[in-house]
Amino acid sequence: MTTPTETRQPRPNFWLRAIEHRKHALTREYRRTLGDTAREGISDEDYATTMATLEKMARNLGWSEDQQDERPFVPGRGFGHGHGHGRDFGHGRPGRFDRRPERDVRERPDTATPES
Amino acid sequence: MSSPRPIGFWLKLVDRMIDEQFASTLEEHGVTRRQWQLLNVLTQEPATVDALDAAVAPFLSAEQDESSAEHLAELVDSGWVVVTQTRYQLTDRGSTALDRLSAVVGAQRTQITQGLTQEQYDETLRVLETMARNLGWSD
Repeated sequence: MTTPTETRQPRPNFWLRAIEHRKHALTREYRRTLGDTAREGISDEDYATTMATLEKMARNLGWSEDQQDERPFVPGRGFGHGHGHGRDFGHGRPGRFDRRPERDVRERPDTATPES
Repeated sequence: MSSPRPIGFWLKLVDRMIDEQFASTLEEHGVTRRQWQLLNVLTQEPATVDALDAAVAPFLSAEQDESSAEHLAELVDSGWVVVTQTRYQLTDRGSTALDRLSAVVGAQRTQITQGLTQEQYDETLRVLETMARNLGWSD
């Protein structure tokens, strides 16, 4: 049995959905405002240069368009997608330097040329 | 080279990739990030463990009562660092190893910016700094 007051009020689920809706709306608004604030004093041309530079850096680091739907980099696995680095980044944990402290560094001068 | 992706995508991507590449490089050479930081601090002058703790304080876990000493122990065992009375000091061996590792890290940084002009790079840094300051960052 319900009281008249209870029948006039929305169910809790209504308010939960209302809160979620407003939360998303405020988040969108906040992000838009934040983006506008961040770009103050920056010309479209300079902004475009920055975007292009960042994209170039990402590609130099091994990112490619076909990786867009997956994590571009898996922590602890290095660039394990075969994108031209030719180095054994992250493929198996190397020996700790307390075993061979200088060998790792001294015997691998070629590691200074990642693309070689 | 234009892209419809938001700048946040590129910022997060590049930041993560640089971070991971750096971590992998250090790991490949058997050095932890904290040890890399400590070695670089010691290139300036010998230091006490308290001074080293202070230098890397933002990176030490307060909850676990983490100290530089535990990171230095491996370096001492390896002969990269020596303890002189109360101070830690970089050895010639450690200095040589650090120089070589620094060269690797430096080469990677150069590789990341291949194909970019100095002007583009400088402009990007200026824009990113402006954005950070616009969002409230200050020195």
